[in-house]
Amino acid sequence: MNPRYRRPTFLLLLLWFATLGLCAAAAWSAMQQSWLALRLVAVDGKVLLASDTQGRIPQGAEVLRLTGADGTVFDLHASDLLDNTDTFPSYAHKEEFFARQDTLHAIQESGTVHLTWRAADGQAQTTAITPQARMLSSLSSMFWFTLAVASLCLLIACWVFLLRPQERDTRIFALTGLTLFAGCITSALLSERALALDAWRLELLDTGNALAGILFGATLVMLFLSYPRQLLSPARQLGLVAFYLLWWLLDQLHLLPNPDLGLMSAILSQILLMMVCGIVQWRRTADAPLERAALRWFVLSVLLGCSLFAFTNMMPRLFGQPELLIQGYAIGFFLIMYLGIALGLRRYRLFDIDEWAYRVLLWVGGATLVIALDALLIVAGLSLGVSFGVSLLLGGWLYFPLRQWLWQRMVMRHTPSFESLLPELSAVAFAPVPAAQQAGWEALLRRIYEPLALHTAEADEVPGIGEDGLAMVVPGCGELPPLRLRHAGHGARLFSSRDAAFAASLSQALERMLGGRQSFEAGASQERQRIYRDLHDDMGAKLLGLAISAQRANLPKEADLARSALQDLRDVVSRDMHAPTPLADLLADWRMEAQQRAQAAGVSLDWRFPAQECELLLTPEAALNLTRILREAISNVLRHAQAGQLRITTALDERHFTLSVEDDGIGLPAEPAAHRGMSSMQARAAALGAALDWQAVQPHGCRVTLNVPLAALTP
Amino acid sequence: MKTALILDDVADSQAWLSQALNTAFPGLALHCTGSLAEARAWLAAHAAPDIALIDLGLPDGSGVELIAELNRRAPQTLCVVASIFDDNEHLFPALRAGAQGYLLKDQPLPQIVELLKGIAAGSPPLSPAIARKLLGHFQPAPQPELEQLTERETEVLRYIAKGMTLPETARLLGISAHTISGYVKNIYRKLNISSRAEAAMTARNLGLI
Repeated sequence: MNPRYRRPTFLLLLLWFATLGLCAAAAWSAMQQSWLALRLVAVDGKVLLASDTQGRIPQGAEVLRLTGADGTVFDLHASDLLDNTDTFPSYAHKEEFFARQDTLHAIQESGTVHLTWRAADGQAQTTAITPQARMLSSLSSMFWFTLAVASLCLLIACWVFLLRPQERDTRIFALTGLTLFAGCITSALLSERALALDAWRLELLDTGNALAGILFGATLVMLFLSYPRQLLSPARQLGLVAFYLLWWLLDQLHLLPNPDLGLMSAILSQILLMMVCGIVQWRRTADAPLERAALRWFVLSVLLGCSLFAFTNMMPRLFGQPELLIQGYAIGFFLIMYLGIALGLRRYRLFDIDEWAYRVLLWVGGATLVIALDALLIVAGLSLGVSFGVSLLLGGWLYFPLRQWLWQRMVMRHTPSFESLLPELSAVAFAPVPAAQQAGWEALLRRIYEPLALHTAEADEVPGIGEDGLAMVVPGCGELPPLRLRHAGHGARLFSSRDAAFAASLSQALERMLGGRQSFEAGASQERQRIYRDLHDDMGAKLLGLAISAQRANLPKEADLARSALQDLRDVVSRDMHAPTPLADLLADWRMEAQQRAQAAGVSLDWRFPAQECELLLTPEAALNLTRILREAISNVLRHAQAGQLRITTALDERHFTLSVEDDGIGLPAEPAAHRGMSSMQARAAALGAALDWQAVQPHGCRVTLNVPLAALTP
Repeated sequence: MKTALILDDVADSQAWLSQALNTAFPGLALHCTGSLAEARAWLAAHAAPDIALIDLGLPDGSGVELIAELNRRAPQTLCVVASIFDDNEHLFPALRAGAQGYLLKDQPLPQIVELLKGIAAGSPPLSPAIARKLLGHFQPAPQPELEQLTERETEVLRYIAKGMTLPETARLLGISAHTISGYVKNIYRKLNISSRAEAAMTARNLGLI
């Protein structure tokens, strides 16, 4: 099979138009009949005139008999207007109905008909009526309603099937849609007959309708037997279908005691079977809550649709009561069932189908809209009699641009140029962590190719087009694995060799960028190593010498200054300036350092961690700035405050990180901002976009609070 | 503690460390060396010292080499790293080679003295950064034949890694300060054992043994 025809969207569109074509054929078939242009209704056993399109006979008149051109006289009974052919007290009644329909049909087709009727005042009159061809507008709204419901149900069933054509349960589901469609069409044609149909057509429609109805029920039972768990082997399920076919055959051959035991009893038995299967499925899925949730939705949709249909239409008729809703409209309940299943697909992953399935439907909707507009233009042009020139103008200036726009929005795809992707590609290459690189790369491919599925490919998969264009493997680059994309353009198109070449060059470009970044980082690291060695060997030794001599000279403040300078040096040379630092690690290190410094200075430390777990990752710059601010704040306390206690509180909320250093010392100097340490703290806080402020604490002491927005800390 | 060896190439540091050792262990006989070669020569001629303070960055190599040698030849010698850098890149190789403690030379004298006494008494220091590195080292359980940490030891590391002090961790786990020091010492020991086992395995894999 040519792979082009395996695309789900294309196939669905094809099926959708085939469905619409069948509907059109049904409407055409309903029009292939002469009619009297009268609407008759059966009221209390009488045949009354509901309307005469040509106003020949008053409304409400009782129609008594018809006389054909050849002189055949036919007394019209209320039973001749029967909507359905499945409720007769006996097969003899059914045969009689069929015979009378045939006669009536012959009269209608014979030429001018004389209709005898009686007005409300009781006087019988006869009017000659010439049967005429039926117009499209004479078809009832119920007929269209039935066709619309049937088409939508079939569309949903085909949609589900095409998304997973290999699964048995979706195939059965598609069959339910097909049989329902066949049942609806035959039923609509039966009830839309203009008074009568000839015997062979009536027979065909009746047999077909019964077959479709019984098969619809049987396939639904099969579905319940297969989804979500298989309750009965496929062979036995076919046996069940055969059983129902036999039932249908016996009914058709009039071998059952009476027609009530035919189609309707069979369908009621099927509904009961479905309920039983639903219960068994429920018990079988006790250990799988997800499957059970899906099942609940599925059973609810199906049983609601079927039961509403049965209760409003079939059951009353079976018990000889007037139906609550005539069949043509009651069929609408099946739409509840199919819509329910369609809506449940995403939420409950019915039939294991994902969210993307809706895109396929959207696509078909878009294409239908465009074609409907085309049709509308033609119809409007014809009926309004707009002059050719004006239509051309309207078409050329307004309609075609609109149509083109719509078509592109809904159906066509947009191919970005290589240049326009470069900024994004470099953003991917310079993403801070490999996970972000991977996510960015996948997002970019998704945006370009709009695949329905994207997975990491096996390492040994050959890059390029696979599965006849259904899939494409994009080569991996750097640390990024090769990726497998399936169903381009939301399933609307195939991958082309051009796509593969484009993806390969994107991947190459990304690889070069990643390589460039790597050598840049390697260079930076080498440079860092060089500076580091200088600092390590030279600066470190000097600062150490300073710290030692200050201590020997008993100058604790100077010693602390030298030590904190050395600590700054340690931060610069030892922290990995590229890896994000977890805040939790930073807090732990800070506490350790604060503890050691406070202990050395004979100050007691009260340290408070944030109340909640923090999983924040900080940029190296932010980590360094925060560390320096805290260190400086502690230095200030230890050097100048003459404090006995130091309280450091760290806190985190959704938007801010707060750090406060409080002491019970002598309080703020007269001009805090002028102090050099403080101004460097201010500068670092400004770099973080943070608020830093000093407050006096009662009875004495000072509190420095730093409030940083989280956005400034994270990569 | 009777004898000590100091390996440091800066005279100021040597004097500073000598002062600290003398304060911590009065009456100690100590010898200062300025390079690996000098230290090896001294060790060849003398009995192994009870304690050795070793700087890492030396003119003729890394102090880690001497730590490894001492650990092999004189396991009773207490090896302590004396450096100005305490990050993992510096310390971890030394700890793996068998160092039983480390100190920053710029720390105030009383703290250094305290630390030395603690290390000698069997309670080595453990910073959050080292604890994290240790957790990472033992966590993935790369080779089953290597010695693993017990659950308790892992728990201790987790608390330290989060910034808890040793006494706090002891309180949180409901154990004594003495017991927790035992855990930490054991963790260092297992680190050394695991690195030796790894070395042996690498050698075996290379066909050297």
